Amino acid sequence: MWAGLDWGQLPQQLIFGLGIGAIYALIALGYTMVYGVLRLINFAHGEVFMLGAYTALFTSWWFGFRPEDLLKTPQQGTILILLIMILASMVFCALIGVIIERFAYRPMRNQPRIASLITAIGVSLLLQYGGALILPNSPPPAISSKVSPFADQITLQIRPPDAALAQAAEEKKKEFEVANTAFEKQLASEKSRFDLSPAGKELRDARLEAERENKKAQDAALASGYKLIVPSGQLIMLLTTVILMTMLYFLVMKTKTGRAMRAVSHDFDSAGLMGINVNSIVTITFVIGSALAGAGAMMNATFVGTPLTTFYGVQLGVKAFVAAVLGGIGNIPGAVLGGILMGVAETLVVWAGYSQYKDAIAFLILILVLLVRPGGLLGSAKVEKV
Amino acid sequence: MNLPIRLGSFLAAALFCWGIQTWAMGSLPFNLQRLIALAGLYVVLAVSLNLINGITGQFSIGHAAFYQVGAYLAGYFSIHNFNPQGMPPWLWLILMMILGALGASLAGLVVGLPSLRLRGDYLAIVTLGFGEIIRIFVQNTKELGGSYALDKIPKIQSLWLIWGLAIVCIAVCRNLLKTAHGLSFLAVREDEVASSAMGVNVTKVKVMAFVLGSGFAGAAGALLAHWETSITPQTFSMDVSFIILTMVVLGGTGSITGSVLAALVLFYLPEYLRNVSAISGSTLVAVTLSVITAVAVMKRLVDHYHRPMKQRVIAYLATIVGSAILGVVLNIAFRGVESLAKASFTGDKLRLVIFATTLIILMLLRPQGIFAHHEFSWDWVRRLFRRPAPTPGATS
Amino acid sequence: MLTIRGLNTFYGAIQALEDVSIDVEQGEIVSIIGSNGAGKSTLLRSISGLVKPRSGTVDFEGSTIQELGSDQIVRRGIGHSPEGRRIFTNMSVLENLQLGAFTRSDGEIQKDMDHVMERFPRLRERLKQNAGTLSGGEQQMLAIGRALMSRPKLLLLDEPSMGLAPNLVTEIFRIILDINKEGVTVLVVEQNAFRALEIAHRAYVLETGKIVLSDTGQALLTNPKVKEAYLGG
Repeated sequence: MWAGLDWGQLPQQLIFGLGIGAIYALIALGYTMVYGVLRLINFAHGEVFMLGAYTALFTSWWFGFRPEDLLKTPQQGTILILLIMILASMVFCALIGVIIERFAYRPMRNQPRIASLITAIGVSLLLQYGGALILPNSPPPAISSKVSPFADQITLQIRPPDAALAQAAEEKKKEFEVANTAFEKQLASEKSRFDLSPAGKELRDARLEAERENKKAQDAALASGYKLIVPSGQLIMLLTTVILMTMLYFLVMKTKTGRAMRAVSHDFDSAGLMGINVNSIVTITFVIGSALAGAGAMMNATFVGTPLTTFYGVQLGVKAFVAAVLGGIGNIPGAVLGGILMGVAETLVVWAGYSQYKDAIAFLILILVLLVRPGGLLGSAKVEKV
Repeated sequence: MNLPIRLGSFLAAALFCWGIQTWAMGSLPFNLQRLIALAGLYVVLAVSLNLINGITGQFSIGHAAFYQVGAYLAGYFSIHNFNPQGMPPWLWLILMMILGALGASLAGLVVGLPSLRLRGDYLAIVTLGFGEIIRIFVQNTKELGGSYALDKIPKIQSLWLIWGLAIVCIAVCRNLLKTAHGLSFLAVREDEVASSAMGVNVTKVKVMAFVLGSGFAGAAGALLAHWETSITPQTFSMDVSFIILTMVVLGGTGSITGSVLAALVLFYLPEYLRNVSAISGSTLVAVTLSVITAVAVMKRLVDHYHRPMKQRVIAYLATIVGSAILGVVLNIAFRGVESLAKASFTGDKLRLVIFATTLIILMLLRPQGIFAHHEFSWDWVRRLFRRPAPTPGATS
Repeated sequence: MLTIRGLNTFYGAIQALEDVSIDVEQGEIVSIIGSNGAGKSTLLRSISGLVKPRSGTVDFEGSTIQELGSDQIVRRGIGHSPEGRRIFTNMSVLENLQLGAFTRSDGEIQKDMDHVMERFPRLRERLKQNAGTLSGGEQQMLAIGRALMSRPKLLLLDEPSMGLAPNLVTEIFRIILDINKEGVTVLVVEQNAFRALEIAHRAYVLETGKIVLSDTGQALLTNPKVKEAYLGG
């Protein structure tokens, strides 16, 4: 079964996996940060992501990228518009995150955790079904591909084609062109393309043969070389993610606020005794986590392009959560690692021809990892805080 | 418990099953019969999950998986082996129930054993993941109908068996709690380390709860398969697991009475709302605002108003009446806003919104669940009627 | 300096403090002794805002603080080294001390840090080490040092001797005296009644949520009731 795989495709697939993994990682960060401070699985996080995608959609509409507007006045997006879209998504998601925390989670803070969990499920359902009452059910692709100025792809020629094969391909191409011109010339004297004289038929067959030969030679030449194709959008996505994560790392590890966040995540009461305002740190955590989801949502909706419904965040949310647990929930580098692993694993499963099991692989890996490391890859396996 | 009471309970249970069978199957339209059947199944699911979650405190949120295992196992077996001449259908159905229960118990054992190393949220996510894996496996197995349906399951509908199973499930859980076994179950919930120090075999208790709980879910699945005759993987999605979990928590984690009542209410609420007539946008906005007001005030009362019961009840009632009046006034006011008045929302679209809102509100106002950890008992009823007694027991 | 009147604190339906009134004057060491579960920690937690009393008042330097959040109370000048030390075991010793100075932005943080490390030389040796790797005594020192980093006027110490070897207990109490001499008022809660009374100007005895006795530390040391119940006869 492995023989049928195109191993040459592997690096290409890994790059795609990284792109998807970056999105998972961005969402997983939100889960892990909120879990870190509140010990709460924020089930509504996937819906925050969904709302981020809608914000990006509406922003693009506002700039005249509504399908019917584009018919009237065609235009191409700019980097500035993309920037505004991602900022709008991040800000709106942050706002939603803060509202959810303030009104649904804060009142539950001293209650059993299972009750908070049910509240989270309730908020998640409310946003899905309540959103469906007012938000449009967009046909695919939700965000017009015209918005992105990065529609092209970058081709990296790793190894040039074999010289001899390339030479042969070049010759075949010429032969084909000769045969083609001959046939085209003959066509001029024919009644129609579909009613050829015997001479015409002969030329047509010769042309067909030359075309076949040409294709074969071209393929052989191509296969002897090696190149990677990276859609620019994917590259932008990866780059943005790396920038955001670096900023997050700096914020958490090097600033006073970050130190306070780590203190709150370790011990609420102790953090309060240091003079840290626990409520505002929790709010900041929700702001950051939700804004990252917003960035991920905008990029996913723009560069990957999935049909947008209010259930957009369910699958991605669950998988990102799995990624967070895989890396060790509460652990920030763990979320990144888990997200990327998950993205790569899924792409590889599809590449190996088991696309129907794409959604199961996440859980399978998770269960296997937890059996060996009950605290996740980077998490500590210590008994949870009581 | 002495013998006469025990016999009486048996008799009452049998009478109840017989009554529901003859009344519903005789005089109700088919869709109502189905609702009664499904409600019974949800009672089984909620009570059995309560055994795992509420009583031993393990955090399982993938209960639909065991329901699914039971349904597909029994359904598949029945399609290929059922012979109407072989034995009476009800006997076959009981056998299928046992088969479904055994299969699901085995699955429970497979999940439960390795998961014991995991705690809290990690166990939760593994159970969730197990559910998804089962669902995706079924979706990709042609013999089980793939992502379409496993259909042509022999139709054997028996309300008395469904409700009989519910009663058995309740009785088993209740008796478990009353016996020494039950004490060790509760001990594990309260403090694992301490109870293992006291000589409770924590592993055994947890695995037993898991196996027993999944077994009941499997039996319910078998009954579902033969009632519906056609089942799809979507019947057992993550949402179903969440709803079952919600029933347990909303009823009061650990309270069997609570699970039963919450299962009935939460099952019927969305079904009932399906048929509610459409309301206008202005009414929707008005109702939303008044509900928010009511909840905000109530939450403050619950948290800060430490007065005698009577005064508190008056305050709650005043809040409800006040916000109802606010709602009516707002409704009239918003009717002037044309875009709102024109918009219309059907009950079918609103039902899950209302469901979700109910969840949030109930959790905000009563996080310990309706029944907290109390159980229904005749003593309790007697106290309730004698005089407005102080709230039964404090939460610890 | 600190005046508490009629304090009632509940955990759910259980009353942990009943009508507690105490006073702490500027420059004093005040001890509160009592057995396990008497409500000693709850009293300190009520002062620093970790639990909200249901009724009663806590006045600090003339203004009421029981409605404030714990972060605000720290800013008013009350430092609290909690029961069980509760240091941030996932961070370095240095970061723990920096967090202690979280409320401050003046230029003297480094100076205070040096001062803390003079007082607890062992912390200096382990500055970059993860706080979770410290021994019990070192953790207690870190907890006290951390509380001092906010430059408190009033320092609340919850069971500073718990779980420590006798020679370490002596050292900790010597340090408490030192801190007090430098002008910090100290309210200490202890099960080790002898030590706590020895250093105290005044002391209170807390039993099941109620203050049952109060006097100078020396007087309580010789009080027959205290002797019988807390000093082993």
